[in-house]
Amino acid sequence: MQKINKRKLMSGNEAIAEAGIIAGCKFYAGYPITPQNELIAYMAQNMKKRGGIFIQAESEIAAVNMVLGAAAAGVRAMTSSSSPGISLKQEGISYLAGCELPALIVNVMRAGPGLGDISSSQSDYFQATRGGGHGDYFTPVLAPWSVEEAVNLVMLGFDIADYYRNPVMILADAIIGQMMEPVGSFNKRQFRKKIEPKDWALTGAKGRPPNSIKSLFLQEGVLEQHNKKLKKKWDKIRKNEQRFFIFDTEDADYLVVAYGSQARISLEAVNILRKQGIKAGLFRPISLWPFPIKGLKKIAENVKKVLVVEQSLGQMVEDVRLCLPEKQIYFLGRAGGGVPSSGEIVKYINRKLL
Amino acid sequence: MSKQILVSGFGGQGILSLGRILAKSAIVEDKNVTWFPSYGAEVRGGTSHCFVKISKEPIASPFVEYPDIGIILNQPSLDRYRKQFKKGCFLILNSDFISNDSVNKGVKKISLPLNRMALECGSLKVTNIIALGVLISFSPEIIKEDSAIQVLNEIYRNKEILKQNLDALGKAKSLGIKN
Repeated sequence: MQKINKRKLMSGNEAIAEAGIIAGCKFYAGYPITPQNELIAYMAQNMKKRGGIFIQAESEIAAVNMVLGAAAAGVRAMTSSSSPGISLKQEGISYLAGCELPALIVNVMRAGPGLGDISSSQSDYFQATRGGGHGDYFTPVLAPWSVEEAVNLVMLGFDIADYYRNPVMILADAIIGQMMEPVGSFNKRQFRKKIEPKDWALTGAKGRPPNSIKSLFLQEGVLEQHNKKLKKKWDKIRKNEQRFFIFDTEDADYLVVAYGSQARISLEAVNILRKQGIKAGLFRPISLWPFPIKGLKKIAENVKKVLVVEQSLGQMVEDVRLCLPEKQIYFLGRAGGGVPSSGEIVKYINRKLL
Repeated sequence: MSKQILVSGFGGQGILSLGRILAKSAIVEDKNVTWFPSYGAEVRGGTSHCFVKISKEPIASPFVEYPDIGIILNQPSLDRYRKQFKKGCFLILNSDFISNDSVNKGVKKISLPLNRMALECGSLKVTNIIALGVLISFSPEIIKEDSAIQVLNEIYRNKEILKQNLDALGKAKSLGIKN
């Protein structure tokens, strides 16, 4: 593994790409779209040099299906795009889940619906956390709040994908993709479970019985059995892969819940509120699916009120309401590229929650 | 103590580069830094800006609402951000492209012909580095000259271009422009 000791200034997009390569990604296919172009550009420059394959596909749909092929052949594969492109990839993601194939899909979210615009947004939460494509499935979703964490989550995402044989999504937003920060180490591994060799992969059945990878099960009852098997996997992931971060929550009366770049802005708001003598804290889901229910229930036990802040008109807030039915939940959100500022959050809490 | 810097001008003036050089210099000094650009629709001739936050502490939001420092290289940029420059803010203004440099009360400013100073160093392309030199002369606590020199040496391998940039960086000091 390559070691970079010195802290290096990188954008989220570049760091995600570099982390993918270091995590052992051998196949990347993508199609350009702002605000994730630095990611595909980095892959174009580096994959071949570092022993991998880069393809700029003719479309997002082609790219995700190429990734499916590479994953079936047993290599670590990834694709990336931004919101409209991710919508196009949903068919492939559903097939990946149906075929139980590991792959990493990166969504650097922009504002929608439709073609929307290129500014930052978090309005793909529903799509990301509820499967996104057709059929009964989920993809684990990881949301970084810094360039450094994006690196860690790419590594973790590949590990989760391989361990459970399931596609994993990195849900970043345009702010995380575009901003630059120092990145220290690229070697942080968080996943401690043993990943088995991919003896299911299609590698040319020399000296062994042929493997079969498919998502079509026409015989009566067989698909239902397959669905039940997948369900066991979702239950296991729900149990084992909830992740979150807390700040100043021990004595908090008011809990702000936010993820991704909006959590960074909310942290600034919490710091300002603390200086005003208001006991605010931050809860940040890192895994959006599975939603960190256990953590949030515990942390929110003694808080008076909860404020969810999103770059959307209210998506994660529904999970927070499901998780905390007895609490008073407030929501502050902006869409269409609007980003709730720390000042707006402070003002909202002072006016509506106090 | 966190320093919040806004760099703004038009595309082609080296706005994003200046921000990145600031950010890299902060890394040389082992500080935390965030750099956030305007991206996408801005093209050469259009407005371009970036936010840079430098701090010894971890940095929360990468956004800058009320900058401590503004490096403003053209008139539309000053017009756009004028209200956000509050008392205590320090502005470096390019008088070659800014005729109306009125600002809020209590804002400290220095207006210099940055274009002309850059041409004296051999190229209009180093306008941004002239501004960086002015910033270092006034506020060495943000980044040190040595750090910027190290970063410029890393970026520019071409000796002639490097010399132009180093001359530009030292221009303010050589003219005795300081706090």
